[in-house]
Amino acid sequence: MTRLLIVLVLAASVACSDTLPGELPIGGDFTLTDQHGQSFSSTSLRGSVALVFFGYTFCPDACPTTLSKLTAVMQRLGTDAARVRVVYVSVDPKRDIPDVMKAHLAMFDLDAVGLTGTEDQIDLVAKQYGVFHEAEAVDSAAGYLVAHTTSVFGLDANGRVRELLRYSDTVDQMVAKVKRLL
Amino acid sequence: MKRSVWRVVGIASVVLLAGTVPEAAEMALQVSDIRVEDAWIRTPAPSAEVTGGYLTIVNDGNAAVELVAASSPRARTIELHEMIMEGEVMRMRPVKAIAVPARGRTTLKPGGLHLMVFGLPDGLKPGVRIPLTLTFADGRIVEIETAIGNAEAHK
Repeated sequence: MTRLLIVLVLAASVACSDTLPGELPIGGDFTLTDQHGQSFSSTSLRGSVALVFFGYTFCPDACPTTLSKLTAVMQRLGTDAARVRVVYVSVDPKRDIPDVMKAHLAMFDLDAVGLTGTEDQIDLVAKQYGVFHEAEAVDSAAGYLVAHTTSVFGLDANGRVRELLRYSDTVDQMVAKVKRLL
Repeated sequence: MKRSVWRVVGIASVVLLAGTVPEAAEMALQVSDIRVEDAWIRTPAPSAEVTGGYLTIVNDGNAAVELVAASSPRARTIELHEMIMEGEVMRMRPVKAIAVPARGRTTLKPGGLHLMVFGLPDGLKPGVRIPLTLTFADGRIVEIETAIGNAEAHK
């Protein structure tokens, strides 16, 4: 519930504009494990724009849609894409071990970093970004599904969250927001 | 957009064996009221447990119909799901039925209603065809073929 409140407060604070002049009051550095099983520090993203989002590979619908859109965004950016990194953080670390993240990302023509970790590590990063995530037991062969925030956080070259790319944004809208970060 | 239409097959012969001839003829007429267009299943990641399935059900009949089950000999199980957005939070939920209004259509598409397809064989490539059986609340069964594909081809 606390997390939900955080999300609601965040949503309210950014509801008036996607493009606050300064940084959004969320974010921060973190260390997780990448899809190759190596430790990954967000400080290594400095100097690049980073598009950070949260999802899980057992999600057959929203997460592939976001990945497909970001693939299109990167293609549209052309040579600027070399200055943009895409970072996918799993909110289902129990199922999303590095090998699973690797296989999943291989489906997309996108040079993304896929991050996972312990549940505590994921909870911490989610909290930093005001991301709601909640495993829900459902009457499904999936056992459980994970409700989660779908926004993509646009970080500038200094690691500050400056743009929010929404699930409902078109590729054009996303491209415009990323260009403001470059 | 490339549009594939599969007409209903199969059920009439089963009914002929099970019931009387007039019933069978009536059933066959009803069955052809339901068409399925643009059916596709998102290319599953290697060793992925799940993927999404999408299609449009067109109901040319005068009564609403409800899709209540889907199955395929290639998949371990298929569920009907919906995606709900609450602000920026996405939730997925199994649903018991998907309604198609009389003389209307219902589209299962990314970001909304979809089939959640479990346990397809590994290594399916785009273009591979997968048989799919749709069962409606009134007992009607629609057999179609769907193709493995990606979202970009189904805009």
